[in-house]
Amino acid sequence: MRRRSAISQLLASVPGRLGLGLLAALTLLSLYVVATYPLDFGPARWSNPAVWSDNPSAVPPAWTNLLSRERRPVHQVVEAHEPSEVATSGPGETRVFELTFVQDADEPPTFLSFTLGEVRYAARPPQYALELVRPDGVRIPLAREVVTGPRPAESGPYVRYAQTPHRLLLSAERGLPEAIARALSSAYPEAANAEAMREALRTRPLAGLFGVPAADGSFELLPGRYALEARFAVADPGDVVSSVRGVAGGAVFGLFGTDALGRDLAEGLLFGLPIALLIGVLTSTLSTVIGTTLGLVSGFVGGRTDLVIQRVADVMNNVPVLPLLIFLVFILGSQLWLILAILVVFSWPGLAILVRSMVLPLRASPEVDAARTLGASTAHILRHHVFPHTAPFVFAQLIFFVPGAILAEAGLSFLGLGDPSLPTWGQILEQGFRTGAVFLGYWWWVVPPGLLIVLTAVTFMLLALGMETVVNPRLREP
Amino acid sequence: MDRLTVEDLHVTYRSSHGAVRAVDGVSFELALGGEALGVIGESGSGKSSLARALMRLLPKSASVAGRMQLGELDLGTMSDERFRVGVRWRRLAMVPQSAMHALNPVLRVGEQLAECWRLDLDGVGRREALRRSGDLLEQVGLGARTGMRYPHELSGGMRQRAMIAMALALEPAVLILDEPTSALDVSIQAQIMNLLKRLRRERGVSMLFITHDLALASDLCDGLGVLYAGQLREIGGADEVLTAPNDPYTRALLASIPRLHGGTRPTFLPGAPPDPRAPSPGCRFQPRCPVAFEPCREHAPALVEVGAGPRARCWLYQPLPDGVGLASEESANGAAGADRGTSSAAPPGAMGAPARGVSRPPTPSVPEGAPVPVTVSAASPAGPPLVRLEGVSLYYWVRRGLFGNAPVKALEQVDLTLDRGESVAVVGESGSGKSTLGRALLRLGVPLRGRVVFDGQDVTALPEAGLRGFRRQVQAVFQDPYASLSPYMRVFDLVEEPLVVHGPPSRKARRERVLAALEQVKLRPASEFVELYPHTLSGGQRQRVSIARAMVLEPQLLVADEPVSMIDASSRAEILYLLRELQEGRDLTVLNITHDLASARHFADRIVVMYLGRVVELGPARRVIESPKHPYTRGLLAAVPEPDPANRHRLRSVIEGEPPSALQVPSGCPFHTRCPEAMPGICDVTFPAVTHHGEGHDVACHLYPAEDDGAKAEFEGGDAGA
Repeated sequence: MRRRSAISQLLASVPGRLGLGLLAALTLLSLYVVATYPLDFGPARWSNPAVWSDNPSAVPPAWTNLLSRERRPVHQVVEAHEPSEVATSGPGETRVFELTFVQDADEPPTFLSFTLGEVRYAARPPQYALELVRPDGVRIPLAREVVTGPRPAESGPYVRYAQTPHRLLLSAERGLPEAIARALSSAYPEAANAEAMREALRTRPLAGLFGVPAADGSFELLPGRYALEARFAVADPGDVVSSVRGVAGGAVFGLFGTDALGRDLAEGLLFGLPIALLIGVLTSTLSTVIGTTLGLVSGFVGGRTDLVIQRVADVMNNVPVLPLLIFLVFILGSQLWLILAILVVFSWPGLAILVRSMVLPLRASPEVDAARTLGASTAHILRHHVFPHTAPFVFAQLIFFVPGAILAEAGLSFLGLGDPSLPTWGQILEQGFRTGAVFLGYWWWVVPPGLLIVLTAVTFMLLALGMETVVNPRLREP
Repeated sequence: MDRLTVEDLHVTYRSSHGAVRAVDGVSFELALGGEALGVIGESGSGKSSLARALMRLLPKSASVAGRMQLGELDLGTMSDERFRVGVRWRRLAMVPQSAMHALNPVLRVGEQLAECWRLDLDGVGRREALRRSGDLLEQVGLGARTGMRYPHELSGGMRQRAMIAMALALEPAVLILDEPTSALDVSIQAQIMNLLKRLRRERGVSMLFITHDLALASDLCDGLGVLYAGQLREIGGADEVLTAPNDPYTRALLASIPRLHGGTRPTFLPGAPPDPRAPSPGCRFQPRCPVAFEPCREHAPALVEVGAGPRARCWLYQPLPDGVGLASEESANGAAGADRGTSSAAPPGAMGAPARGVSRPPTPSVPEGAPVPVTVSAASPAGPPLVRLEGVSLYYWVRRGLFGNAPVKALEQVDLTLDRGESVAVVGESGSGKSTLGRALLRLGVPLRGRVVFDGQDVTALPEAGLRGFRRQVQAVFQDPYASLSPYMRVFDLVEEPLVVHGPPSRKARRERVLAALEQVKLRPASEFVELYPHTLSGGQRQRVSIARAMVLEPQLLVADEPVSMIDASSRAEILYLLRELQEGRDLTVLNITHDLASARHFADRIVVMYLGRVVELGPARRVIESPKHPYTRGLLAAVPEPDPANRHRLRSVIEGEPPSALQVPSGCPFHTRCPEAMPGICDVTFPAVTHHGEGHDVACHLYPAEDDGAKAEFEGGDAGA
């Protein structure tokens, strides 16, 4: 009954309602993250450059296109597992995979890449040719490759590219400018200045790949459907080409953009949420419980107990935390639990000192005298007659500690003391600053983590405001 | 003659819960040149808002409407700056309730006083201002040397005198006194009242005396106005208001004052004042009024002249409004007519008469209006006493200087026995040790010497663990129900708490006992109160919750420390009757610590008078009040204000001076420093032996020389009479 009435009190106030709503949203997101993300997200994914190699680096979020007049190309990833066309040729087969994407931006894609997944073959390695089929019908050969052949002392069937897919950055192939020039000259013979075109293609092959040559040697962008055609010649019908992927590199990416390593910031920020909540809630709960208990006991029991607790609190309160932390991280390595433990150990003393000073006048209050004459035990008096008077303050502290702890962790990460295996908002911020994101104008890298920290903090502030009437019945509407 | 005129004054506070109409159409006049008008009102009546409106000290959330005129000056429309320079303190000065908070703790009193002239840019030099402050301090009876002291070095009474001196510094025409004595002991209160009377006569300063105490106002005021829920109920000359009040509320207030003499017992008003945010359309007093009739609920009466008597706001004295149902007119007229005929002679007991829509106050076991009902424990059992204090001394230690500790001798050699089922009142000024006596009985303090024996068991030095049985039997009600009840617990939790600590383990049994206890203290229906938090209750209801909490364990001894001092005067008797009823009905022993001798007379079997930690007189209530032996008791009795129009024409005979600090208790009889009959060489050398005067009336005073065998006599109290 009590709990339900507390929640209904919380819901009665505007800040309480907002705070609960935000908290619910944050909690749901966190649960989603916990349920879907791998446990080793940090080392296996976030800190693994191979995962992000197909992404454009340091590009703003896709929705920025809505804000600017110019349409920058969206990052397009096309994957195929089944060939669109199979033709028998002799004993073997020709399999064609078609990867189509639409080019309708005001700039050509930033790169074009092709990635070949696992390939199994019985004896002869499959060969493949890549061609770009343009909307105007021009076919530009991009590459011809043979899957890595059998190594000495290896016996079939041979499996290739299973662990690390084979990636070709097509737009950077050495022969590409020449191939484009040849294809375009034959398709557009009227483009007189072939020499100027070749010159332009050497510096900007992508403009030619996705454009029509103009008279002055520059290119006019050609919008429409493009297809990256991969033609595999396999010697044995039992050979397997499991997947192919084509990427037209965008100048904008996803909901939150990417960092300098091409990492999807949305993923990192989302993963940071449960960690931030964990740090905030765990630190604040532990340090509040410790601080309040010691403060209550210290103030109420008095005497030697008081003396010991207060002197310890004084000492702890004045230990320079930062140097100590740097020192400990240096010795023990940076681990999240260590940071948590240190935050807890050094944040209770302030509360203990404050709670004690609130308890001192209560010790001789009529309410406590009245409880004593009832024969109530010290524990009972502390719980029912002393603690409630400090509760509004303690609860406010509990809730204000949450953003404090999140910020402390962010600050430590910012100093490079964060646990590298767990990407936190602070670490993302830190990497942004280290890469000079601020100077380069990569706002999408530093603003969202900051805003998320603020949002989490605001959530708990609102809850603290809403809690006032819950813990203090005198403030309720009569 | 110039006047302070207030006409149709409204003070409204904006709050998040709606407008609070603190003062609602108050009008009065006060002649300058020495008239005194008393404004009497209980908590929430708007009396302080009235004072603050006159002084322009209201917070920003308040809006003021109406006319305020002082002589030629229109106080309402004047600019703030002109008011500050020309009126505040120069024409109108105020003495606030709490002098401790009004004085600057880091300035010497004399310098603060001198600031009145210095800040006022009268061109008064520092030396001259200090000289004047010395003079003024002399005039208020403080002595010029007091000017060199800091406020914390002064007692409450001295601080209040200093505040009065400060208010008089610029010779204002009107002094507004906002409860100037409510924090003071009766003897000091009487001194201050004498001082005010003298100042009024000598300096011709008019006074607006704001108080909750009708009897106290009668000490000073020519005119009295009674304020209720922001409206004046009655205003007129003190003689008429005190002797022939017209308004039912004034009558109730008068009847609620416990008298030292005569046979009438105090009555009380059930219920609480209305919510100032949602005033009913009718008469504001109607829900509590014992004579409310037809128009009162729907129509608000005006303040009208009633013959030659005071003006009153009551339908009894004015033509009924149009539209009051004819069908009920006969009965209404009948009731009104009957009351009209007897209005001036209506006995105060009328408050107890049943009336429509008004719950009948709980009748004490003694019939209403009966002569002083207190019997000297005639029914007291011959069994052993419930509690015996034997030579109990209890000191508190305070730090003095770097190394030393000095004892505060709160109790010194106190002997006292409490019989089963009797009610004993402990009276004395603050610092007399009466509260410490209660604490010693409750074992909240451990005596230095002596023994506390409860029900045959010595509990003096038992550790807390061994006290469980004792704690169950001895319960307490504290002075301030705001402070002694946890604001975080519902009424149910509060009353259940003792049961959680001691009582029946089953939840159901506890609930039954809680509801029964609430019924017992007349919080009915109990099931409606259990969910409430204390802050939503009135002072009286809160104190009843305290009593229910104490009674739920069915203790044998109840120690009540000033149980009614924080409660509105008109509701006090209700609590006292309740305690009396519980005591008589359940054979409960009650130790009632109080400063109020008059209520002790009505509600206690025996009275114990304490001074500076010593018991100086003890005896049956009637004997102590009617034939006090000890000069201190006599002095205390003389200081008790009674509502008598003749009061203002005479000075009270009071005990001079103030009680010395318990840090330095005078030698011999501690009272000899203030005693009008002190005999040098005797009183200041030895503490007098206790002498018996029959019926258990014992006195410790050298005026009554002890027989040889009485030299070592101890207070025997009820035993001697039995």
